[in-house]
Amino acid sequence: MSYQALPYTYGVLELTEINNLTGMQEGDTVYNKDWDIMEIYNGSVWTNDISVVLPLAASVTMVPGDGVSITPGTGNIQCRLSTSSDADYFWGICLRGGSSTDDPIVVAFMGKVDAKLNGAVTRGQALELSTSGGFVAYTGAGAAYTMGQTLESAGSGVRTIALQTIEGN
Amino acid sequence: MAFQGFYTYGKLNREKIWAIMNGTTYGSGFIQDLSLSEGQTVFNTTFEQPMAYCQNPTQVSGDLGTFMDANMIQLYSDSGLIFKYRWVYLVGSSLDFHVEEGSTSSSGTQKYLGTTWNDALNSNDFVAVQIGSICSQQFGVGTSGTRANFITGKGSTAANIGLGADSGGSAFDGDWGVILDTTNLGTGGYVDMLISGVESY
Repeated sequence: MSYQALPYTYGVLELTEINNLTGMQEGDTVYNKDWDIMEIYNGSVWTNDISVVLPLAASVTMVPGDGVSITPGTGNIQCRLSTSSDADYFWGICLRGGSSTDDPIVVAFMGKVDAKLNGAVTRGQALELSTSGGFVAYTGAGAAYTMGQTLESAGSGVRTIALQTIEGN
Repeated sequence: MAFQGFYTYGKLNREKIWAIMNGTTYGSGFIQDLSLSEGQTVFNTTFEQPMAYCQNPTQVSGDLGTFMDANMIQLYSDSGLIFKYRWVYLVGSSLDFHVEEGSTSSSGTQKYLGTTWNDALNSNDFVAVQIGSICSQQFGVGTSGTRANFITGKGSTAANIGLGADSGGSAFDGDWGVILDTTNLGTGGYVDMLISGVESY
């Protein structure tokens, strides 16, 4: 069989190694071994096919795992930390964060991602937005606005979920 | 101008991709010595998507990995063989990240996570679970009792393009897909669906 070496600019790397890369150019590629997905450098941040890049609405610290919503209103689209009443504005989970207005936030809208849970969960439970500050949680059977399922049983903290941002109502 | 091809294995349909993954094409040694390895690429001509290989952490011991596109996540088969095109759910009583084929029993109803893209031959093999975009899904009419990993039309109706689907239960209230194509339905065949959405229970 003839096949060629890996086609990525930076080969296969772990997330920490990718985040520490320097000197990238727009269009460079890498295979993210932790997320099992190819990433592309867009000129300012690494992104991928399960994410969109959105500017941060205001000076708030957003870190990987935070729930992300769209700031309603007019003008350019911007994102913010999600709250429990944000079902209609929920966009996804932050993969790469920021802390200043207009920082590019990489927001996953589907896939296997790590999200910030504020309560214990059992694998397979449905998740909804919970409280302010970008948390999600299991809120009981028959949840109306499901945005994903837990993939592991664990206490509160950053846990792996199957994310789907369509509303389940 | 010099350029290089992007795909390790070129352009293949899904049957030929599965043959690489299960050892039919290049043998099991090719898999276990990690010649088939993390990040290798192929273009899936069936649904026209680029795919990358996700290596199983215990692949050297014979546990199989899988190719995936961006609409899939890799999870472990919990109890052995899982067929392609079946809906799966997280096994609450087992290990994290382990799935089983769906069931209409109380343990499985309304717990749809996604639809399998490949066969997992043994427990701890990776199964690629599609959670978005277009997938193939087994379909049966009135077969939910014995073929619980099929989906059925609401009210045991036949498969029709545009029909919504959920995984069963008394309250059909968790649609996760819409039928797009019934060409391959036949008897006990599959439909192509646009899927998006997990179920809540």
